[in-house]
Amino acid sequence: MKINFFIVLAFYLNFSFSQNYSYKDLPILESGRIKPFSTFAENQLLVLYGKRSFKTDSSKVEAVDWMLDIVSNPEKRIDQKVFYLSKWDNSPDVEISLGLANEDHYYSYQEIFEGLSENRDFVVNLLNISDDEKSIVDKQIVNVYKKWDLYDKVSYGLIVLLPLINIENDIIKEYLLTNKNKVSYSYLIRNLEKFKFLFKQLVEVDENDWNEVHSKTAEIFNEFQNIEYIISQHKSSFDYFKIIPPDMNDTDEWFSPLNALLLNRTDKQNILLESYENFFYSYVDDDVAKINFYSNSIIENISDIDKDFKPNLLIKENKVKKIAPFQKSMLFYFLSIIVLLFSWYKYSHILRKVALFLLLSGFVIHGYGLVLRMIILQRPPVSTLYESILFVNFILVLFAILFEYFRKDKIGILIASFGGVFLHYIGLKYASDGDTLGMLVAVLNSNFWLATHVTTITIGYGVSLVAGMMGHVYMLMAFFVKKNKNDLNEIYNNIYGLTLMALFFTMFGTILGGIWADQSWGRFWGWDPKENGALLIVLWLLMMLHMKLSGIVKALGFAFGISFVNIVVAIAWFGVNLLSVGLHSYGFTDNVATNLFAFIFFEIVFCSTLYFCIKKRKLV
Amino acid sequence: MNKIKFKKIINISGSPKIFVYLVIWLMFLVVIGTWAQRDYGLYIAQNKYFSSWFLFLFNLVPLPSGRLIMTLMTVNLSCYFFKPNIFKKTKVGITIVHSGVILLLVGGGLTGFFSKEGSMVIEEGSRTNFTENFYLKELAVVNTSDQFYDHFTIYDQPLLNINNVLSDQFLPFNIKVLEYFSNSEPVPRLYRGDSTLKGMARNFTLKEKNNEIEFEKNIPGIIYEIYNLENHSLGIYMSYMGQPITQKIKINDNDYSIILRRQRTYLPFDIMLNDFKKVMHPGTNIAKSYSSDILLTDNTLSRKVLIQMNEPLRYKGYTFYQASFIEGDGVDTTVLAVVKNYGRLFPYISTIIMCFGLLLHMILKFNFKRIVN
Repeated sequence: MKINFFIVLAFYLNFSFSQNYSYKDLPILESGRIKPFSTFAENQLLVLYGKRSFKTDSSKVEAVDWMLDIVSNPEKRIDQKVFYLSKWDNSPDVEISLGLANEDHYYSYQEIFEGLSENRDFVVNLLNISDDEKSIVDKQIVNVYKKWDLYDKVSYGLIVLLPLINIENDIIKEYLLTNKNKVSYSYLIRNLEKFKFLFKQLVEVDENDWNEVHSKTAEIFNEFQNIEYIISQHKSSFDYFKIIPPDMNDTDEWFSPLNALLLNRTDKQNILLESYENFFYSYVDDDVAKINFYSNSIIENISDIDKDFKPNLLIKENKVKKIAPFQKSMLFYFLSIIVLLFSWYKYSHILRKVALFLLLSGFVIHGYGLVLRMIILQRPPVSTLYESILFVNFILVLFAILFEYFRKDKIGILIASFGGVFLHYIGLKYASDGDTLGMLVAVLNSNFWLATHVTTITIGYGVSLVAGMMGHVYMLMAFFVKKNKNDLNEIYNNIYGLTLMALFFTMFGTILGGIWADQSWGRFWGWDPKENGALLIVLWLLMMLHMKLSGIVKALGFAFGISFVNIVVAIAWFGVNLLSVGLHSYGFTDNVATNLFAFIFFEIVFCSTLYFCIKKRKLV
Repeated sequence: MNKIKFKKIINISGSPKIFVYLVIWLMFLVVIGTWAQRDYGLYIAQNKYFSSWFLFLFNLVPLPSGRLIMTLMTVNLSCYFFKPNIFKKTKVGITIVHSGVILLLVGGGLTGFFSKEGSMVIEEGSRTNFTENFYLKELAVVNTSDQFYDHFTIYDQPLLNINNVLSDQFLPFNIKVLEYFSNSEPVPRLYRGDSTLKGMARNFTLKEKNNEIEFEKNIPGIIYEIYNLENHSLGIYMSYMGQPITQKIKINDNDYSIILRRQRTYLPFDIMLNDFKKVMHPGTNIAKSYSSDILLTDNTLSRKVLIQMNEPLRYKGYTFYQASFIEGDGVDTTVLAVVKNYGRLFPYISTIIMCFGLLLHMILKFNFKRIVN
């Protein structure tokens, strides 16, 4: 029955592998990676609005729909309250100095624009001085300006593709070879020779002798010039949507539609531009069937230009988003805890099985999500802080499940589900910062070393955490469950084994890191904060082992000491990034510091209290 | 009697308790030394807490620093091998692991004492045959009068102390160091009428600055007085690293340039940079890879080599790594890190030994009977 379930689950997860692309899958280049349009839209909305979906008065709109809506109706942008100046990220002084006072902290483009232009000199000055000279409020104001600028880019970025020019005249339509009443700037540029010819006729005839075609041409020319004017006013905006791949081998750089129009286009790129024009024509027209049709032809055109383009990765990425594997797996882990708690109350045996089953389901989804990420990014899943959280969590649950397999007394389930929920929660916090599928700097860009050193060290983190949690369990059992000495002794032996295993992984992870450093920048060990962090875990484990050996600690002391390995891991993992020095630091937020200190404080108080209570009552 | 005494010494000095105390102190050093990097930079923190024997609390109380602790650990660990019964079935794995650790520590010692590090900065199209030390400086006096060759006299950093007099049999003058700053900046003088001041020192003086967090960014400077061999002062001069116009003096019809620069080490071969390449992730400022296309010339034989991230050049005991670059107008400059390390292989070997030992220990200790039951 169990096996059947997993087959069904696997089917459910793998289902929908049809090659039908939607507008969400359209590729765009951002931060060095070709990503689906939906991800791109989410990233922009996160910056502006702080969320992945946009809430209008009546409904919730997905980021991608929000963005297409803005892009295709640039007028709409003025009043939409898309700027969120959250009180977490902004000091109250920001709103005061910009003269903004909405109670919910949401503002429209127009409001922000007014606020900025009233303080024009001040803002311009801020933009010209270096970061060191700015106060925190200054930096936040600059950020508001950047958001405003970003919104400008987003709303005008694709204007050249929109059907904004009215050509409703049968002769002109026939001459321009189109049956549409409206064409885009891009269309006219692509057919510039014909357009020029029309215009030439217009100039040659006196204005009083104009016929219908002539006056329509003049109108068209007027609208054309309007768009040119907008383009000249918002020059920087038009480089933002990099959706046209290069049709040559010497560059990876994609072009924005306007840049593609200005450069020498190949035929294939012309066809792609045409598909995009048709796409937006259908979008403005609200013709769902055609939107899908042109989405598919855009993908086809791009595959035609760029042979390395992998459209199925885009579909996979959207699928990961839709399935949200890590949220689901967190839910399963959470349910597993609840069932487990009940099992101590009643129906112990059956509920244990249910809890284990829930745990395993969560674990499978967890692993599936990791595999999908590996396929999308084509690298081991351990290279950013966010990824390491996912992976350490996976290792932790894996070892705890193995543990449960041998011991069958629910301790493994407890550790797995508890640790799983906790780390997933931290992971979700990190994911809300933006795109979690980032690119790597040159020195990290080595799959071999990522796979060996980073994987080993993160496995080490995972096992250390299991050992640390076992330390907690030992003390909790000694305090609450008055069991016989044998049970406790067995757990003590397990902790000892786990400590050895943790030492194995952390030590080799650390030394492999040294060897990588020796290979890449010429020194084995440089006392860099991240190296020191890893070393600290190794030293802590060594200390515990030798304390046991020399008889400084007995079972209880060992459990107490190994409990603190959690703190050491947290410091090595998150703490060193807070120092923001050295080659390894890759992420920083103030919240992390606060939470880290809270965690350390809680652990110290919790473990010490337990330890001294047990000591005093002589429970062991 | 002696045997018993020896046993006693081994037992005490090889006790795991000692190791516990050492490891606690080392952890303390690691934490402090990491924290200090935030304020003082890697180089100074490393020198103070890790690669010195003692650190001085309030500049007064000596406390053991990293090097001493690790030496003591090595001694403590060595005693382990004189204990009885270390090849028993339950202990043989542990013994192997410890021998790996000894190798690691010895390798670390070799690296710490003997390895040489430097950087090599080459512009596209030019040739270099020396490396520059990251931290140490030297004062070079160059006699440029001979039309066929230049004669160099080099004073190393340890000599550049206040009131030290630098002299050399080939030079007709002595240099007395008046000031040496590890970081400084030239500032214009307000009063410019002092006739003892010569050269750039006439209009400028050096102001001492605090060390930069990145020690390599310091601009060291020196103020010195020159005496002829009859001990008559010929004036006070100044030099600093990267001085735009080299300080020149003329004595006995010979021209001398005095240059403060990074300490150089000359290599028995030279390297020419043909081309430097940088590839970015498209649409970002994140570098995907850098590489230097170089020509390595030893005696008269040349060969082409490509050095890139994670793929260094190893030649005659030296290893060249792609470390950094300077982008110029059409002509790029590559920065290669150059290392000569005698302890390089130790970590590799000791990893294998320790890995084997730990696995062996786990296998021998694992209770197979319990699993079967």
